Amino acid sequence: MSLSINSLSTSYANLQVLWDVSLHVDKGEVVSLIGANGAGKSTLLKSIMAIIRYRNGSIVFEGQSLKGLYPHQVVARGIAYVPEGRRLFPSMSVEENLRMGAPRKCEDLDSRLDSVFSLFPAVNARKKQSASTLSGGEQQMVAIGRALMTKPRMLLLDELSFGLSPKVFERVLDAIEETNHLGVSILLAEQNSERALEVSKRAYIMENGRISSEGKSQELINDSRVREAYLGIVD
Amino acid sequence: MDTSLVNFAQAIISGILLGGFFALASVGLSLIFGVQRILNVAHGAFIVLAAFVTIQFSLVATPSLHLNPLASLGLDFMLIGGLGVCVYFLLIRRIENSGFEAPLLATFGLSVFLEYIIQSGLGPIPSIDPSHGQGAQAEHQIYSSTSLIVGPLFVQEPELISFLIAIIIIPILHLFLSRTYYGKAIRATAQDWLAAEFSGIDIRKTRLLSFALGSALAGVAGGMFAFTNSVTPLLGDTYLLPIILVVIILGGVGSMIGTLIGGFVVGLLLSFSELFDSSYLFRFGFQPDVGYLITFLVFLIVLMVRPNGLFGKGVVK
Repeated sequence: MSLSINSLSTSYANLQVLWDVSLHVDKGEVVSLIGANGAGKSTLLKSIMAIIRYRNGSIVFEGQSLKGLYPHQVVARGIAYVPEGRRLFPSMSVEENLRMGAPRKCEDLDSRLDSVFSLFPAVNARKKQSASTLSGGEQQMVAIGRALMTKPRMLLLDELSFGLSPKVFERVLDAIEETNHLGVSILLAEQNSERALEVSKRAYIMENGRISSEGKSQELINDSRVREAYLGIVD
Repeated sequence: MDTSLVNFAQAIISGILLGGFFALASVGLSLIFGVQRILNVAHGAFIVLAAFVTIQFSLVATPSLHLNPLASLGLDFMLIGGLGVCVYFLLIRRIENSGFEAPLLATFGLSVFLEYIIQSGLGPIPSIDPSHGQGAQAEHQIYSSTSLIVGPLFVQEPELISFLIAIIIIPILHLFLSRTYYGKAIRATAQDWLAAEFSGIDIRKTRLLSFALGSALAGVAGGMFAFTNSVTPLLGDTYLLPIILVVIILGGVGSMIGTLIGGFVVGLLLSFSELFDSSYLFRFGFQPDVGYLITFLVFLIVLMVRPNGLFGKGVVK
């Protein structure tokens, strides 16, 4: 097992946001996390990244607890994160944004950059440009590229479809699948996406800070209750 | 040469040299403010503290060890840089994510504390070079600046040195921020510290580095300040800090080269207004320090036209 979360509870001040959440991602797996806005998906990903501290429960990656680490140490353990809204460094060039993903002493910097550019040729063409001048799709590609520059074994993706046209989202998902074929495990959080379920093998559904159902993605897609509540499809 | 032409040329030279010192005094705070959004209002006190270090060093080391007083600049850099490290760990680190006001109040308190220490602990302060300031006493003469004279124009040696330090250090700082990993990491932390963290940057390190480096640069500026002024404990707040804030905001917060140019602008404004007030404005009852009035007036006008300063985008670019 690559990532395993057991009975995690997280609070913001006095407001409890996650209740007894358990979830796992096997090595090389693509798992999606579906839920409405505010269900707790982002909080769960931020807890994994140690951006939010949690009191109860455990988060274990490759057999080691992530408790008490700083976010950059979680990154060093092999987990990378693409946040909702990209969060690029706006006054830096695309290339500098990517460079920030790699560690200070990085012997294979060029080959890391090359693999990002071969995944996203559109980014290569814009590498000298300031990140703030890119389109939403290109920014998403740079955000994924910056995460891949850390050479992760697991990638957490928050709301990849945010602000993207279906066509661009499709291209980004292709890149994610390609990355998965190279052996990177993926946890994909999406609000309303049938496509997320289609690319993943298993899925969890979150409701009000709890995991309300889980199972094979294919079965969830065919579940009429899930179809209505999360995919917006009324049979 | 015509007298007014000579005065004009002399005002340009003095203004640029003074501007170099202002830029040197400002660049450390520009780095800290641009990177951490922390307005360290104790920056002026850091400078004055370094000036005292240099004066004490000159009193002790110059006569007994036959060291050039300028050697104290290295000491200032390390001591005030070390002070910056202590202040960062004891004070700043606990409050840096809690908005703009907490660090402002905390560093204000620090500034009062440091000034009190300087005032009560160090007694009356001799000036390094009795050729300037009041209270010059020959027995305290530990350094005598030479003037370089070119025709009718002259340049004080320490002013030239602080100008040279500024035009060497500031472009190096600019290159550090734009070319090296740590420089880029500092900029990334400035632009989005959370994104920097999950990109794998240790933001505790980048923040400590920028605070220590910014403080150390205040140290170098303080050393040079001792050579060109008669120093009193409160000068940090009454004289340096207002000018430093004008320089930084004029140049644009976060731009090192902008700070250099901001320094020149303020230096020239002050030296030209001196030229005018001695010859013209004085007749209308303006006080000799009308230069500050003019400087702050220009500052306000520039901010009305360009709220981010001449070169600024708001954070370290």
